[in-house]
Amino acid sequence: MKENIEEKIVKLLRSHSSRDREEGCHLLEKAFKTRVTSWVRKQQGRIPPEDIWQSAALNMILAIQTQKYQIIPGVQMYTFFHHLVKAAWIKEAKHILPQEDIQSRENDFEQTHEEFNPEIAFDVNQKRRFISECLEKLDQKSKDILKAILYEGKRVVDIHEEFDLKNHNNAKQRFFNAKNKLIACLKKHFGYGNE
Amino acid sequence: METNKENFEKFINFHRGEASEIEKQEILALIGRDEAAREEFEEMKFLEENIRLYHWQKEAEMVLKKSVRPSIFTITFGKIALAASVILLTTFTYLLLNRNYLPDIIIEQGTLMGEPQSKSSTTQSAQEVSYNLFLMGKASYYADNFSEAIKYYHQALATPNLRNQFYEALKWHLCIAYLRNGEPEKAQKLIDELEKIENPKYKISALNKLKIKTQLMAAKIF
Repeated sequence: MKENIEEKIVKLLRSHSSRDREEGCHLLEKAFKTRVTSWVRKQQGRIPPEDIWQSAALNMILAIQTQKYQIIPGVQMYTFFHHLVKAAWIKEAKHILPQEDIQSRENDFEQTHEEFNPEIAFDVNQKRRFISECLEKLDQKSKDILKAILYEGKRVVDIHEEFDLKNHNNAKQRFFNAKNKLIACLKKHFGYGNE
Repeated sequence: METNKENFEKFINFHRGEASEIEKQEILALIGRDEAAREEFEEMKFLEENIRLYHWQKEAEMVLKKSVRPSIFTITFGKIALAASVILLTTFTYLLLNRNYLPDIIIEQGTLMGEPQSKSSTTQSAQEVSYNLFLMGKASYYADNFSEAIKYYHQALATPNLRNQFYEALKWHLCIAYLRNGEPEKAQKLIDELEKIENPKYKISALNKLKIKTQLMAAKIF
């Protein structure tokens, strides 16, 4: 039964339908939020449980969507999720608790469950931050064209009117200019292309 | 390079999982033989994946934040709404059902009868007769015999030159007796008359007036 819910969460969060993804978020919340917030409340430092929940849940969603999290038969999803919760808690607690406490928690964190590596989720998170920064450098029209073609799956022939561009070739040119600028920016940030 | 620019939509379709089997085979064959096409294909994959994840994450962030705000709001609003409903319901029930609107004017206002009654006197003044009729009316009222109470109050009111305070008290008692007797129109008429008095001598509290008005309204509706 538990596994079915987990499979459903994964399926919904990876869906191309935004309604399904939203339902996946709610299902994840229903399945784990109480558990996460009650764990956070039991820790030292009185860190707001809602903050930890949101940070960990976002990383979990990201891990699922980037395929970094894969269901392992016989292993509960929460085992992976709990690592993300701990990591988010440590990140927040660093500002509040003594260094020795944090160090012991970090050691404990690294030694357990080597089959999961939640750090991967943080790498992806960093990648997302870089993309956000690079997108911000583009003008609004370029961002919208990239979104329309790459995210919404629209065809160039369909967007030139929507974006008030002369013709199909013009729209294609704008798309390629925006794409090349974005790629150049990303290469600078994390050496894309050298991977 | 230009050829790849023509193919970029096919590459995007491929990465979005929207390409047919034949298209997939064609694309795989193309990137197998053309280095520039492979590079374009990889760039599209990278961008499609990351832009999709970027937007999905923004969506997820909004969903998670949205589900917090309503929950706090709903709890707070829910509690306030519940408390307000309970208070309103209790107040309305009290106004509707409370029958305690007859302050004991005789004890509070010792002068209502006029001159103190002389025990030695065998004859009663008109005021005293009127007061006795009022008492009998009140007794009938408390015995739930409202029509009898109305009769006594009317007889008492017929006495000429009654003191203002007593006259107003009689009207108030008559009004309530009419209400309890199921004659809201007559009761309404009396309360309207009492409200028109500019400087009333018989004080009726605002709460008692509100009770009567609520009960009159309910009696008219039901």
